[in-house]
Amino acid sequence: MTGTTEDFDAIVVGAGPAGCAAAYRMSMAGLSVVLIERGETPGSKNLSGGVLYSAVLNELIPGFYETAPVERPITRHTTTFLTKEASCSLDYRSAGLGAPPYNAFSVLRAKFDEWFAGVAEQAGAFVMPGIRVDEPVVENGAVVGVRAGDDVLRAPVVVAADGANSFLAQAAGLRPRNAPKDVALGVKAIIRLPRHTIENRFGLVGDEGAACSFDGEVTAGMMGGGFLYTNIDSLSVGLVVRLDDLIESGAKASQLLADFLDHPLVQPLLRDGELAEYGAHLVPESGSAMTHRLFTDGMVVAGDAAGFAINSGLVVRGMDLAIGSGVCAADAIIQAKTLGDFSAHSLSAYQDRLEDGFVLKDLHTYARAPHFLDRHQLYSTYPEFLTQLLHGIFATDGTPRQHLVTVARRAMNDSGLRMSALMGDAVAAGRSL
Amino acid sequence: MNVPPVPGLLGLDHFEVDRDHPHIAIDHDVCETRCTQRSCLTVCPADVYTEHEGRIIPDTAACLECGTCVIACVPEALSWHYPDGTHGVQYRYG
Ligand SMILES: Cc1cc2nc3c(=O)[nH]c(=O)nc-3n(C[C@H](O)[C@H](O)[C@H](O)COP(=O)(O)OP(=O)(O)OC[C@H]3O[C@@H](n4cnc5c(N)ncnc54)[C@H](O)[C@@H]3O)c2cc1C
Ligand code: SF4
Ligand code: SF4
Repeated sequence: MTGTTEDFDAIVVGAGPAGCAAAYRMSMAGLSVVLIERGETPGSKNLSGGVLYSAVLNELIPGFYETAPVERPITRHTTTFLTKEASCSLDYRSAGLGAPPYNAFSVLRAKFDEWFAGVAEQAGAFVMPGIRVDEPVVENGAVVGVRAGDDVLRAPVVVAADGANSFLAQAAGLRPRNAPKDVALGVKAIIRLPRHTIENRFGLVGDEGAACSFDGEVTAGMMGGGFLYTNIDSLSVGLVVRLDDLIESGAKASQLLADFLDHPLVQPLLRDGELAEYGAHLVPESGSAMTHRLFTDGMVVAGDAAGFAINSGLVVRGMDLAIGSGVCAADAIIQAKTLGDFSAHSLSAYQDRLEDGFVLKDLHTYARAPHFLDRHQLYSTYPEFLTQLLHGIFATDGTPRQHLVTVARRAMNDSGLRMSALMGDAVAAGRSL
Repeated sequence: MNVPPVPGLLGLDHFEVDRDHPHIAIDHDVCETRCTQRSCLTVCPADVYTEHEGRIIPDTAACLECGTCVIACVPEALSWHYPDGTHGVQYRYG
């Protein structure tokens, strides 16, 4: 510490789910906290696919869904393998998912983050929107505050919750510049539809919601996948594609999105809808988290800034990990304050808490997923195989029916898939998904 | 669904443009001598970068602030930071 007067106990940069959770938790414990956000209102810069797995938020704020602007509780999850003109789906429904405390909700971040920042403010945090933090202030090797324009704010600890690009964590030397293999680019459209149309089209009762993921043709064989989530009176439709693949292919994400929305089997789900917004955002790749340092003297890194996201091909998850890591960061700082010690040694309690909780456990579980998902046949050969298999079973052409094994063999031959590769991938999938 | 080209998509969004302080600047010497891939022309989801007589020109006002170009570009060629607070894209859904 420097002896200069401090403005706050803690500075949180970024009012996404990670920053709001950290600011709320610390404020509830009586710490003086400032939450700085560059958007004019919290959420105005943020974009997600939009399914929040909500157990962690419900633990932090019990019954949060009573007041939060959630869209629909998700009661139906589908996964669809798409080829150019066919599809094959898994459809999971459970009535239990539609009852409190719920499992997941679709959310729209412009509304949701504004609510969450408001909750932190009510708990006592000082929320400063419309301010871009330019850099951390470092003295004698320790972070002692942040600079925004001509202003310097000082606190013994700074939480970098500034999202996937985290220029703050980079400037503090905690992580290198992102490489193309460390991130995926997500692009998304909002399509407005009357709520009854949504409920009829997706087989939903009342305010229930569906989360649909798509693999295969969506990303033209590149690593990634598509999603379609139901909101109250709109759909969130988009796709995520690994940046190294995208650069190498020379394809445009905007064109992939246009092709996805125009796919003959997706189009009917969107019919008569009205485009309302287009956006883009990066997603950290699951494996990148393992390589970052999470704390230093006077700073901890949380959420996407720390690389805490899971992009498994079947799900994109990051909001719950952001909230979980924000809580761990807050608890480590609350402890550091009672000790009066904000050194890296003291803040290493953050890492311990992450390892004890679900955040790092889940990330370790999925750590193999990026390697598994590197197998490009997942995005081209398998969708082809599955749809041909089902074509062989269901399509009749006047010739006698064949035994399933024969149909499967023919589908394998037609799709170019080999049995040894299939077995290898099945084992790898079992280990990593 | 019939999706308009990128300018039409961006027309759906709300931007507070900061004409006086563009947040993207290209060092043309580095750009024109050291870049072989010219990835900015394809990876940007908002088509911010276009080429005019061999020179890359960014249309800063259309930027969605995703940061993709920062990762794809030759590091020394691009100076990119978030727009000043309150400026830039403002999602109404997100
Ligand atoms: C297309 C797409 C689909 C996704 N789908 C899902 C999904 O279905 N479910 C899920 O759980 N996750 C999903 N994710 C991931 C999820 O959105 C992120 O993991 C989550 O938003 C991370 O939260 P965060 O608080 O760490 O960062 P962010 O939400 O990015 O928040 C960072 C905040 O910091 C602010 N900020 C940044 N720099 C500064 C600065 N210098 N000064 C001041 N403020 C600053 C930003 O404006 C922003 O408000 C998806 C992501 C994408 C892109
Ligand atoms: S990627 Fe960067 S260096 Fe290459 S052409 Fe574009 S701006 Fe220039
Ligand atoms: S930040 Fe994203 S939208 Fe903006 S210029 Fe770069 S790639 Fe394009």
